[in-house]
Amino acid sequence: MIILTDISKGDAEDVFLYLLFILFCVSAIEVKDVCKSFGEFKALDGVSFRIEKGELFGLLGPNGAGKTTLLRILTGQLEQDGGEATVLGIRSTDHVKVKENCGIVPESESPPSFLTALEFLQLVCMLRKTKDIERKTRRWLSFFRMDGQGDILCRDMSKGQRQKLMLASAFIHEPRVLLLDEPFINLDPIYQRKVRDHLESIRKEGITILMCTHILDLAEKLCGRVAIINNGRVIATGTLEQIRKGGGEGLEDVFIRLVEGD
Amino acid sequence: MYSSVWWRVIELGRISTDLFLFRCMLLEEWRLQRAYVGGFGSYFFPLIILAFSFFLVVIFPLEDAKSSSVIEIIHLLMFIYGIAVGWIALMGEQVMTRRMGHVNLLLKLSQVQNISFRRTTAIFYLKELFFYHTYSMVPFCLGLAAGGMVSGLPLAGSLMVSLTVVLVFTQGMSLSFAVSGVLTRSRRFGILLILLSVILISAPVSIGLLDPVILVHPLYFHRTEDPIYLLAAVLEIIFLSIIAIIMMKEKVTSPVKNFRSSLLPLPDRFPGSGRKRALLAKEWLELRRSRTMWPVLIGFLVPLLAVYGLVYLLDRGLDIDIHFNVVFFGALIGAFGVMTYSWLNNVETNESLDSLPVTVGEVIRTKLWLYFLFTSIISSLYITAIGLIQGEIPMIPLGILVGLSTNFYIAHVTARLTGLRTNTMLLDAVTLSGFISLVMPPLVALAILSFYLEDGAIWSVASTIVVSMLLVLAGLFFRRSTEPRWYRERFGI
Repeated sequence: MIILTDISKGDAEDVFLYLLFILFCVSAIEVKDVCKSFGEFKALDGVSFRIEKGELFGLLGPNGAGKTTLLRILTGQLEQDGGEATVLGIRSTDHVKVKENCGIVPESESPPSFLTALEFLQLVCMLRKTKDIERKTRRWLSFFRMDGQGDILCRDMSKGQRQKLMLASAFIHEPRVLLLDEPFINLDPIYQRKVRDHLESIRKEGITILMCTHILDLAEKLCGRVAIINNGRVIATGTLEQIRKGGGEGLEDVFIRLVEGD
Repeated sequence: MYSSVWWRVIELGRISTDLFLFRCMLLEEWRLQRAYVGGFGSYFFPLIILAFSFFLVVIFPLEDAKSSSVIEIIHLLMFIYGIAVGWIALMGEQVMTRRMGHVNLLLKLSQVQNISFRRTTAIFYLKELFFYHTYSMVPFCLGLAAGGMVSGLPLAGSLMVSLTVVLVFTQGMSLSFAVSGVLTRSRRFGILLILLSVILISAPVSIGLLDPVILVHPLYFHRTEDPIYLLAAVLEIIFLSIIAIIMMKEKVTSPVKNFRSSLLPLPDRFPGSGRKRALLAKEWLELRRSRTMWPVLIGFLVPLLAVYGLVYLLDRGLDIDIHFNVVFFGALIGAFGVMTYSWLNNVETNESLDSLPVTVGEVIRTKLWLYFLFTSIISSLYITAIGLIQGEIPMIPLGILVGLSTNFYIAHVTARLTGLRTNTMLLDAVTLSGFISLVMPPLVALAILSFYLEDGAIWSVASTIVVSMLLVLAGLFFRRSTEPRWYRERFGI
């Protein structure tokens, strides 16, 4: 495993890092024996898995299983007690570098209250030093059919609109890795479909996606591989076929069987 | 553990809904605080307050408990503390929607349950009174009594000071809540009322028709021991509390507003480059859109004017033989800036920045930049105005130097110690003791030096300049260490 965190900053570094990432076949995301406790409560207990470039990987689990905690560790919002987590070979503790290279949709949709939808996307572009801001912001507002809502303050938007905005903010700079926590929540079926199609198309272009979700039928349709996490431990990982162990069960049945049997 | 507490409360059965809600709010406040500053800091905060008041009384003995200037200053400080605690109500809506971000408070209960906002606000207000009295005033008074015993003040004297200090704190808090309530109803009417009150009080005082101390009833009761003033103080508190509760808005809704995008051209107006300018543009827009800019400016200016007014009144009413010159007021400025910096942090939780390549340290620097933009101009004008009023024109440059340097230093100390959570972090025992030990010595030194300036001693001018320069250097040191200190911190809770 190559850890590339101490190189000088700048665009050239990003290119260099990406070349090394391709040359040395570093996993896009690697989680190795990660542990995290909150007081007595063990939120993660030795979680390990790898996600290769161009994979759409689903992290499934019941409420409180540790999915969001793991995502927060990967995005550097939490520090693990033990183990190692890397994104594109960058240690998750170097959170600014990780965030520069990822698109992130957090658990709660909370764009800034007093910026308009358009301004929020413009701000994201400015902070990420994305070029062609006007075109990109218009494109993503149009993608979510929010062209007419660009001038509304984020606090006046519905939950669904805010979620669309968070998704747009994760897609707008065309990152190589997407870390999505419940990306379909609050979206109506039309936009669930639209986002699903988009995720499938960018995966084909080589973008790596890690997605936490409760919506098992969407996970079943989208994810090449999944990990089922319960009580802070990975209880199953692999392709859907591997998890089903050749049986004809749907993902929902497998999920319930594994979680309840754990 | 929490559920057992709930059930114990429920099992009492006989308690009313309001009392039950009061207890729940109290638990909520305590848990929220622990979530921010941790158990250790929360438990030890009262001990720090106790130690502070103990040493205050030991170092500055309350020799003559009836008219000591130390007593007046303690009352003054407690009045300001009360105002600061109550000021939060000005932004009732923002408290719910922004200060706490996605955290749902019981204050929001009226939106989904069959209880009115006024009722929840009234219970919230009582909870605030109970919490701050128990958490800070009780230990303060205990420290006062213990310190008084050491320095030879009789227990009766300590009790008297404690009673009046508690009353003056409650007055400040209820006044602040009442003014906030009026302002949330009608900003114009509120401002007009404040201006009218200032004129009605200051006019008779300035021509010697009214003894200003009579207006501070708890303090006057302390001096005269006439129970009528005690009664007046209590009635005032009740009256202000009723005004506060009546005036609170019943419903918190706002019409949807459209704004043309104005973010893109904004960064060019600010210094720096890249992310810093983008963040400055964002903060600036948020301040304007949230209509927080005026409360922030007023929140800085009003305490400064109040201090000048109170010192002026006390000076006239008590015949203290110390003259507070323009440099003394300069040294106070930074201390009041803490509240302004805190307000800048309450505009927005910035939770969305957790998913962007931005650190808390960068946002702190942005807030500090805006803070200095607002406060430097006001501070300079404030000192110049006092210099002109008091006929101390030659001292004005030195006053401005002291004002700006203390402001620079204290703002950076605050930012280093409390990050973007000033309100709650200052309730952490460790943070508070660090803050006091870093801020008090230079302020006391500058205040003492300012008294020697009256004699025109060159050494005191030189020493004041040297201390000011040292504060700037120390401020720069804290500025450098702020980024690493907050690098790992999240924006959300």
